[in-house]
Amino acid sequence: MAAIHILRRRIKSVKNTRQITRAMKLVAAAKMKKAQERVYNARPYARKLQETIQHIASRIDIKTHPLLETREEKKIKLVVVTADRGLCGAFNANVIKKALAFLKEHKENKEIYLDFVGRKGAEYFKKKWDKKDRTVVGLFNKFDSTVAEKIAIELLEDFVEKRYDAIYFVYNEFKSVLQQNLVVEKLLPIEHGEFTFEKEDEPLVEHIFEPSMEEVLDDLLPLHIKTQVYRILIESNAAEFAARMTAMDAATNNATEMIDKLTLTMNKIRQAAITKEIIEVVSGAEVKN
Amino acid sequence: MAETMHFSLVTPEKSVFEVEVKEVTIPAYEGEMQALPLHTPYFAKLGIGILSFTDITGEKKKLAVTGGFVEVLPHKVTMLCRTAELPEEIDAERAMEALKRAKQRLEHPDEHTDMERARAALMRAMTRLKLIGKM
Repeated sequence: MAAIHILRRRIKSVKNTRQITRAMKLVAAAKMKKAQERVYNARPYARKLQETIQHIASRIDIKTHPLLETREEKKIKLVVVTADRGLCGAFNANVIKKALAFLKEHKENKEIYLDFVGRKGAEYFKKKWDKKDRTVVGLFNKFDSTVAEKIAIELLEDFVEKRYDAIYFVYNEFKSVLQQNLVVEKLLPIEHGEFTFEKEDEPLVEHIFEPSMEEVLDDLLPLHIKTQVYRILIESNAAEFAARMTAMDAATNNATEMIDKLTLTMNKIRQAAITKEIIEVVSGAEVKN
Repeated sequence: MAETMHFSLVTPEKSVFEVEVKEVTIPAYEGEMQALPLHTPYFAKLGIGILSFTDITGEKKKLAVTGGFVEVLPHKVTMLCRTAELPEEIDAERAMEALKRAKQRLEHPDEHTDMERARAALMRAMTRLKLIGKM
């Protein structure tokens, strides 16, 4: 029958696809492991840094520092962190959806500008949103903390020179291999605990600063921002590989399932053909007798 | 009176120590200082130098640190260091070479030399060598 060779060709093509998705899964898994380690190693530092800032803020009124200044949010910036490539399930789509929701919620009374890290987000908003600022792509090909630092410095300048009143990030946080957490986070002005003289069991005494409070904060706060940006980027990177791995695993499984189904159909047709032939032979012999 | 306090030392790469200690000696920006339990809240920039602490068994540990911050609270010391190296992690040859390079730069500066950076490099190399007893 004609259908058999068509089926055979399809099975072969699905097999090839499966081979590719399996390879991609393995690559993503290896890369994810590295990225995951980097995230776990970077988290304590970022967390401790945030804690110390909160400690200071809870003892001393430091609202006067330019990076802590809350202005009325008229013009804000949203940094959309996506991947450069697709084939990672709903990873990019989720970020974009969240970004759209953010825009919808705030566009009434605020002017929103977008920054992009990763090609996918930039491509999506190319025609859909006209207030764009910077786009960084191909960042993770050779990534280290200096790359993140460059981005952080640009954002700091944006804020200090009052081009924007607040800067937000939307990104995927790496939670586990199977789960990414979609997060919208305010980067600037720095959110800190309220200035209170309550809570905690120890007596609240103001810190002694060395060399001086201004000098410490001038160093500490930008460092905090740089660390946060670095952390956000590596979280997103690890989450991307995790998402890709899961997506490719699902694709491999689907391909296997499809091959099984097609093989079954093919065998059925082949068997039907054989049965038919036998019947023909037998009935032919009967006629002869 | 509390006799120990919690000590944590983290760098951007990893969490180096999370232990109980009896005392910490910190290379702060304007000179060395020691923190004992119940120290008054204190926050400082770190200089480049040797950090040492005594854990509850009385064992003393030393590390070379290069910049960062320290927060001292009555029961807790938190150090955020740019780098922190134990003696066994230091590459003596590399430090020696860095020292030579920095010295040369400081002695024969040209217009591209960033004196501040060269001085910091010299300090780092010296601290590392001092820690492993080669200076």
